[in-house]
Amino acid sequence: MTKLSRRQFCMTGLALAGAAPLIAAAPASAQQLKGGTLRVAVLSELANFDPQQLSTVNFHVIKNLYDSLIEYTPDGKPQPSLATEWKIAPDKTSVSLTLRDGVTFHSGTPFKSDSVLATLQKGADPKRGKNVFSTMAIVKDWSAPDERTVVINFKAPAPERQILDLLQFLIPIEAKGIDTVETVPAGTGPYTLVSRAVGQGLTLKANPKHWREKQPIAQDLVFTVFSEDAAATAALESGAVDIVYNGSSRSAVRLKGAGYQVFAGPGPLVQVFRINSTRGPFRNKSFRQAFNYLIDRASILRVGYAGMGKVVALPWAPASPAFDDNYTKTYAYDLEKARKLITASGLSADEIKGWKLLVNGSDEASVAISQIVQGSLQKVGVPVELDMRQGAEYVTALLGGDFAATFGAVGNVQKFPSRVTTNSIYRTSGNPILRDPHPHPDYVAAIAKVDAATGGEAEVKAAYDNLNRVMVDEAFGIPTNSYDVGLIVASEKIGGITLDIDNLFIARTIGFK
Amino acid sequence: MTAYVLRRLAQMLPVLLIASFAIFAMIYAVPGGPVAVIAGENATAEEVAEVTRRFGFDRPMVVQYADWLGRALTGDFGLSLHSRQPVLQLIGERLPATLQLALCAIIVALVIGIPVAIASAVRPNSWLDRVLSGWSALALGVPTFWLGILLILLFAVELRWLPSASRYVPLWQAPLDAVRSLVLPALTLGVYVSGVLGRFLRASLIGEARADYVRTARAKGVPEKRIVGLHIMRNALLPFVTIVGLMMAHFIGGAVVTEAVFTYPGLGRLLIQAITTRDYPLIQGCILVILIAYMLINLAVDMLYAWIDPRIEYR
Amino acid sequence: MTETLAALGSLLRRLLARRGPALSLVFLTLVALAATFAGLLPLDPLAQSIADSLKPPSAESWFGTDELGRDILARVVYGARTSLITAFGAVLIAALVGIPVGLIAGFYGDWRDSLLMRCIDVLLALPNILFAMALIAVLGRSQGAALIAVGIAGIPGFARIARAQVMALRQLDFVMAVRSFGGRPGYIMVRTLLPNILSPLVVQAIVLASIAILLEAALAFLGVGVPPPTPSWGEMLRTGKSYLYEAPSYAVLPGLVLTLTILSFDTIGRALTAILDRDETDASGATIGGRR
Repeated sequence: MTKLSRRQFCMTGLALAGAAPLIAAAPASAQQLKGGTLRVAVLSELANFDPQQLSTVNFHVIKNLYDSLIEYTPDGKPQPSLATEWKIAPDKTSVSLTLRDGVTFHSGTPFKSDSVLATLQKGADPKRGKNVFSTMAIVKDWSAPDERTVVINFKAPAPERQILDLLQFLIPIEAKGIDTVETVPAGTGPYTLVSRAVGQGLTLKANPKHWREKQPIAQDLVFTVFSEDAAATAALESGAVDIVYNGSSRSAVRLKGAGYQVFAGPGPLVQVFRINSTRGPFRNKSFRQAFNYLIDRASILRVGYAGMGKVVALPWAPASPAFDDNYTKTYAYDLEKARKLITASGLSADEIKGWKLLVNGSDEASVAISQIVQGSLQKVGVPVELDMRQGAEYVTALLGGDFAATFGAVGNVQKFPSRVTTNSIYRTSGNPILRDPHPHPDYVAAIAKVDAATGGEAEVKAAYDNLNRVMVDEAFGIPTNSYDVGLIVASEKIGGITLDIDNLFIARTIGFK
Repeated sequence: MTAYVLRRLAQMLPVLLIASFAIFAMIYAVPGGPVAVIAGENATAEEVAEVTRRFGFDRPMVVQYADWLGRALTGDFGLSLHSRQPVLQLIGERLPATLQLALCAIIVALVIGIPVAIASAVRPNSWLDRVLSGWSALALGVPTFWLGILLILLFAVELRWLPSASRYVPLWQAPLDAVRSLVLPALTLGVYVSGVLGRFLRASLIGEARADYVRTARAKGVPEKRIVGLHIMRNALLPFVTIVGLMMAHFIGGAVVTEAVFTYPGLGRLLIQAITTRDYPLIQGCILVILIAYMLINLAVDMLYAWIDPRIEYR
Repeated sequence: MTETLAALGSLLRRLLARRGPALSLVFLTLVALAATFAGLLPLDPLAQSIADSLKPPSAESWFGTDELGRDILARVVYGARTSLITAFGAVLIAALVGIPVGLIAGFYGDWRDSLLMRCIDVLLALPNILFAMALIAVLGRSQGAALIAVGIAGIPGFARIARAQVMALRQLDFVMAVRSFGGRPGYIMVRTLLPNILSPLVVQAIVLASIAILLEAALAFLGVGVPPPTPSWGEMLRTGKSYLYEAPSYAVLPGLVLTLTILSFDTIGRALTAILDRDETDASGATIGGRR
C-alpha cells in the first residue's frame, strides 16, 4: 500500500517533470573515487524506457541511459549537454541549437540533427508525445539547416525560461529506435542496458564510448526493486545495497542519525490543501482565505515529513523563479486571523460545517496531517469528519473532483511557473475540480500574463508577483510545505553524488571512496 | 485411486467457474474503478475516456467476463492493469515466497507444538500440563502483529541481529540470507500455529489414551513408551494431518497480517494491493490461485489420510 | 428468572474459584468500566500537542504520547470502546443470523440443512480477513462496516454449534413429546430447543468476542478499520509500528492491553467450556423448560 501511495503522489510530480542533471558541483578534487559495482535500492518497478514518459517509476534510469539537450544546475542555471550552444532570437520566437560533435548512441549510430527532429516529432504527436506533448504546445515547427544545427520556431514570443525548460525536457532518442523505445532504450547516456528482470531489478554497465571525460566512474550499476521503504532501508543497513533512492523522509532522518549520507535534490513536491471552491462554504472567498492562516504548516512538516522540506504558502520550490519567502511569513499559522476571516465570511455556524475532509488512507503522511488540520478546524468551531478512502477509490474521487477538500501534492514546482497548471487543481481549463468556466478568472489571467511575459526582468517579475498575490487571494489551493522526492541515502563509502533539478538519479559521477 | 483423484479434480472446475463469476460481479459492486489509477491523478477527461475505451471498461460486465473467461480457458490470465506484467508471472513471483514462509512456519509450529502436546497429554491436569496449556493459550491469543512488532523491536531495533523488514530470497539460492529474512516472520506465524496444534493434538492424544485398545495394550503389559509412540500417536496423527493441511491452505492467502508486519512479498499482500488499485485481472488471478491451492491441499490431505490409515479407502 | 439468576451466580462462583478466570474477569471488568465511564476520567484522546509528540511514558502521560502529541493512555482507554462495541455488535450479528440458521438446519435436516450448510462452508473457506476487507471495500471505512464484517465472519461458528446441539436433542423424548402434542416447528425451535442449547452458545459468544476483538484490531492494523481520529488499538499498533525506533512503547503498550483482553475472553471461554462439560457428564439430561 505504501508503494501505491508513493506512486500516486509522485504521479502528481511526474506530469511534465523535465530532466536535467547538473554538472557535478565539482566534488572536492582531493576526493579520488574508485569504480566498481554500484548497488542501488529503488522503490518502484520501472514502467518503460521512454524518456517522454518520465515519471517517478523511471526516475532512476532515464538520466543514466539518456542525455538531454541542456541541463540545469541545482539553482536553475542552464548548462550545455548534448546541445553545446543555444541562441534565442531577439524576438523570442525561435531558438537555434548547436549539437555536440563526436557523440554516438548506444547502437553505434552517430548523434546528429535527425534524431532531434525525430524526438521533436514524437513529442508533438498527441498519441506518442505523452508527458512532453503539452510542453510542445508553444512550438510551431522545427528544421535542421545541417547535421549539427536545429532551429525550433515558436507560435508566439515565448518567455526565455519556458524555452529553456523545453530544451531541458527534450531527451534525444535515436531516430530508428523511436518505435521500440518503450522496451529497448535508445539513448546516448553514460550507461547501457545489460538485462532486466521484471519486478526484481535491472543491470546496467558503463558505456565505453560515452562523451563525458572520465565518466561514468562505476563500471556496473545494479538496481534492485523493493516494495517497501522499510525493506530497502534494512538492505542498506545490512550492506546488501550501497544506496537507497526515493525512500521516505523519516527513514532518511533516522539513517542520517546512524551515520549515513543523505542528499535532497532541488525538485521537491509541494503538499497542497486543495479546496473545491464550487461547493458549500468554499464558494465564499473569505472562508477559503481563512485556511491560509488555519493550517499549522510547521507541525505538518514535522509530523508528516520528519521536518525535511520547507513550509511554504505558495506552490514553489526555492529553485523556482517565482519563489517568494515573504508569503510564508505573512501567512503563518494564526487561529485568531482565521477566526476573523470566518466571521467576516458572514456564513452561519451551520453553513461552515457539514463537509468532509477527503483523506488518502493509503498514505501515512496524509492521514497524520489531515488530523492536524481537523484539530485546528475544531479549535475555530468547524467540526469536520475525515473521509478515508484507499487507493483507487481515493484517486477516483480526486480525479472526478468529488470532494470538498483534500491534501494532494503537486509537482513541477521548480520550473517555469505556469507549469504548475499541469496539476489538476491548478489547471486553467478543463479543471476536473473547479470545472469550466473557471471560477477564478483572475487566476487564469495571471497565468496567461506569466506566459506572455517575454520582456525584461521587471516585466517577468511583475507577472510572477501578480500570480503569487492572486493565488493567495483566491485561496483554492493552500500550499503547506515542500517535501523531498527522490531522496538519496548512501553508505559512507560512497562519494560524488550529483543532484538533479528534477531529483532524477545520476549515477555517472558516483564512485567509491 | 486414480479415478477418485480425477473425479475430485473434475469437481473443482464448476466451483472455479462459479467463483470466478462471483468475483467478477463483486469487483463491479465495489466503488472506485481502476481507470483513475491507470490514467493518473492529473489526467484530463479525454485521457480518462481514452483509458476506459482502451481497456474495454465501457463494455457490459457480462461481455467483459466472457472475454476474460475465453482467454483464461486458453491459459491467458491477462496483464496486470497497473504494472502491465502478466498476471501469472506476478503470481508466480509471489507464490514461492508464500509457500516458503508457510512451510517454515509449519516446521516451527511442529517443533514447538508436538513436544508441548505430548508432554501435557502424558499427565493431563498436572502442573506441567497447566503450564503448557497456558503456553498454547498465549500462542493463540497474542495477535501476530503484536508479536511481530515485539520481535522486530528486540532482534532488529535493539540487538540489530536481523533485518526489520523481510524480503523473499529462495532458500536454495542463498540459504543464509533466506534464513535471516525468514526467521522472524516464520517464528511469528509458527508460534500461532503451534498454539493451534498444541491444543488440538493434546485433546486428541488424551482422547486416544482413553480408547479401549490402549487399555487392552496396557493390560497386556506393552511398555508405556511403545503405547504412546506407536498406538496413540498413530491414531492421533489423523486429525492432526487435517489441521496442518488446513493451516497450510489458509496461509496461501490468509497470512496477510504477518506479511504486512514484516513487509514480506507474499500472495496475500499482492491480492490486497490488487484490491486497493482495483487491478481486476490480478484480483481474479490471485483469488483463483488461492482457491485452487486450497482445494489441492485438501485433496492432498485426503490422500495422506488414506496412506496413514489403510482402513480408509477412496473410490 | 430467579432460577436463571441463581444459575448464573453459581456459574460465576465457580469461575471465580479458579485463579486464571478470576483474574481475567477482573481485568475485563476494568476494561469495560474504563470504556463506559471514560468520559469521567481526566483523559482526552483527541487533544493534540505536536510539540510533545512521541514522548516516552512519564508521570504526566503514563503510556507516553503519539505522533500528534496525544496521550496514548487516553487513546487506549477510549480505544476499549471501539473494541468492545465491535465485539458486542459482531457477536449480536453473528448470533442473530447464525443461531436461526443452525436451528433450522439442525431441526429439519433435509434440503434446508444441505443448502444452509453449503453457504456456511463457503464462508468458512475464505480467509475471513480477506472477506472482511472485501466487505469494507464495498461499505466504506466506518465503525459500522468493521462491525458487520467481523460479525459475518462469526456466523459459521454459531450456526455449526447450534446445528450440532439441535441434532443431538431433536430425537430426545422431551422434544418428541412436544411434537406429539402438536407443537409447531417454530415453537419447538424457540421455546423448547433454544433454551436447552443456550449454554454452549453463551460460551461461543465469549469465544467469538475474543476473535472479534482480534479481527477488528487486525483490520485496523491493515488500515481498513474504524477511521481515525477515533482511537482503536489496532490502528495504534499500525501507526506505532512506524515509530519503532523513535518511540518503542507506542506500539508495545496498546498491544499489551489488546493481548490481555483477548486472552481474558479466551480464558473465560475455556473455563466455562470445562465447567459445562463436567455438568454434562454429571447431569442426566435436559428437562423441558431448559433448566439444568
